[in-house]
Amino acid sequence: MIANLTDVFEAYALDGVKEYREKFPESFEGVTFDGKMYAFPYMNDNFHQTPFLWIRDDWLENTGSKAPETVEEMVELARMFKNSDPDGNGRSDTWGLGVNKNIAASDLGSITGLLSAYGIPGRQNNAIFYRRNGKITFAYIQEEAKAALAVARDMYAEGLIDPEFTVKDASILEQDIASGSLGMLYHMNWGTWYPFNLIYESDDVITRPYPIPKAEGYEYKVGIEDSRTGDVFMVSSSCKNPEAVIKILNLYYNTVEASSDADSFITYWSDEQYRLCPIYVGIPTELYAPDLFEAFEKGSGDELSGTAKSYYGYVKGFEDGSATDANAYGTWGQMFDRGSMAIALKDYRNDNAIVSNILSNDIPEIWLQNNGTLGTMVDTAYTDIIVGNKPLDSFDQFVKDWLAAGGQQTLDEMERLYPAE
Amino acid sequence: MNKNLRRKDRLLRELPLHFMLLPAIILVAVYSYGSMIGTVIAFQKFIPANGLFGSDWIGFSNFRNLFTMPNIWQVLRNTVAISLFKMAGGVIVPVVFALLLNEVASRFAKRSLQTIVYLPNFLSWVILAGIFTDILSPGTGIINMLLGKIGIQPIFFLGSQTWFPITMVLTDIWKTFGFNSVIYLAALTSIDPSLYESAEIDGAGRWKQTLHITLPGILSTMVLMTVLAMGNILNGGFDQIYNLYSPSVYATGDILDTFVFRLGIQNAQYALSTAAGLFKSAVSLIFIAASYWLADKFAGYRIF
Repeated sequence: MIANLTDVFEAYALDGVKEYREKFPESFEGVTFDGKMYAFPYMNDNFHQTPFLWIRDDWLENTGSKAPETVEEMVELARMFKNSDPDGNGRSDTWGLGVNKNIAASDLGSITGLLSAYGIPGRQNNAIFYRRNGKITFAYIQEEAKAALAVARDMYAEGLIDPEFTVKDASILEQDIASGSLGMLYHMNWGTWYPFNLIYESDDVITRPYPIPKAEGYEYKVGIEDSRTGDVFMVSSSCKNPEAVIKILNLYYNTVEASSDADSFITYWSDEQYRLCPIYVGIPTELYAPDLFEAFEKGSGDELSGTAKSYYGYVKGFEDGSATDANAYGTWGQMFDRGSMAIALKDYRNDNAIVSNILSNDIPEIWLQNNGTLGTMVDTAYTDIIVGNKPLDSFDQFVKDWLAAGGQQTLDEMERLYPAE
Repeated sequence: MNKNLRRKDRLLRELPLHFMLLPAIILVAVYSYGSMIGTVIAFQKFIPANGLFGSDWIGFSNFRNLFTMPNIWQVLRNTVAISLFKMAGGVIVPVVFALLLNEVASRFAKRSLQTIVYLPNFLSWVILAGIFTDILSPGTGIINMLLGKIGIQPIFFLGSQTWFPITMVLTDIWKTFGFNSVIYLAALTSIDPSLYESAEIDGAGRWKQTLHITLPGILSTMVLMTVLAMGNILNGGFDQIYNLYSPSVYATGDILDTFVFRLGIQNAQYALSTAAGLFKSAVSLIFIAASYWLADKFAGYRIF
């Protein structure tokens, strides 16, 4: 079956690789059973999974607006983008806010960022579960969602959202972005890597992330997955030399992460050659971010090393115009002092807004059986309300149906699997 | 003795032809019969790591789960409605087209038309979905622009619960009628021309000839195609619908296959998906048997 890696890891892993265990205890907890390590976790940047509002710089400038801080301001900006010809081509061919038919997904053009403003930490149509008022509950069945849905419904009715969004998936939104008809969307942290790099490369347009606009009277919450779950690397127990895996990992660590050589950073990390390596792990940027932000404040990257130094060079290079390639833009969007990482770590985390999914490795049977159906219920109920097929109050019926279709049983079962501390 | 020798000779002569059947037989054996072993997981609490025969036996529990899913009846209704209309259109349209094409005098026009309508059959729904999303768009699509010219309000073909199933049926017929009409055209050529000659002598016009010679002549092909299509009663056309639908049209557009895909494959519920597959096969068997019996009784048509 699966090999126990505890001993080979102790014997062969470099100190730097071993340090991951202290830096990402939860990820390692997820691969450890009865004290034995059975896999090496990929270690995602979990804080970085939160939603952001992405806006084109030139549209903001052309409409004389500033980035919205409240939902009302966001709606007002969407109105400007729709009606005030932000691209200056004399035609009414732009939309206010980009929305994708999978509204409750976490990718490009979902409305999770809008829901978050009203305290709903949604992530996918089947995530997240969190504890509220002492009880485990599910993001999308919270009463506050009605306020967010009302906003989306009104925006749809006013034509600020493409009336055809219900048949457009993320890949069609990418075309709309590339063709310049969308200038504002909720998206995850990699926006400058994709798809906003498309208009950066073709028209030099910069799109940047902002913290999600807040709603007055609501405490905003953003949802992330639990660190215990995620991609892992495992070794078959019939493998004769399991230590080879650790050696590959060491080599990867030395080449990609510990090296302060800018060229190999570009070759192996930015240009993604590391994906050709059979074993690799993420470079958890959360780890370098504090040093990096400090260096930005001091205005000098001399004290940085390894990956952080490379990031510093990229961001500074992009800002002073000496690095203009897609990699520089991509890195900049995530790592500059108001980039997505800074927003997640400084704003979201300091505001105590980040909520982590309770559901991790122990999955209730009832949830496995029903989560497809329950997810579909979220998608349809939310879409129906936004496009006006059903009144806002149909939300209450949706909550009842969701609970009856296995939702309540899942919540009960989870109370047993994840007892409150 | 003599007769046996002749049979042997014939067998020897036809042996290469029998060998040509081999690839088809192997394919059917491996992919149709071989995979039937897998249906046991419909009755198991299937855990992939334990293998086909290592998982616990739980009887009909997967089927009970399937039929207590909310919306399952709505999904079945959608499936049957969409596939029945596709089936009806899939017989009527190609027959009418083949009859009309048969009347075209120019050989060149006939051949070109046949090829043109045949082409969409080779395009996958993934490609067609992109094309249809564009041309059916209410804002920018060419269809709605044309409708606008004659004063019809834009129709949201893919986003309206009323129009979605209709669009599925029409686009499916458009994609397949060329291919099916080839079969009917082939059937038409097998009708004895002397029948038409004698009908003409008897004073029958084109319409009478069609009614009394052509249609009866291709009836058996029509019956065969219908019998074969009956097996697909629970196949609404997964690749078409999966590529075109969205949560806003689940109410009228979600079919059994897409439903099972969402809850079964995406969530790795293999046992449940297999149960749904087995259920589909059972229903198909009933429908094929029934239509075969009906075809025999009313049209005197037998395959075996």
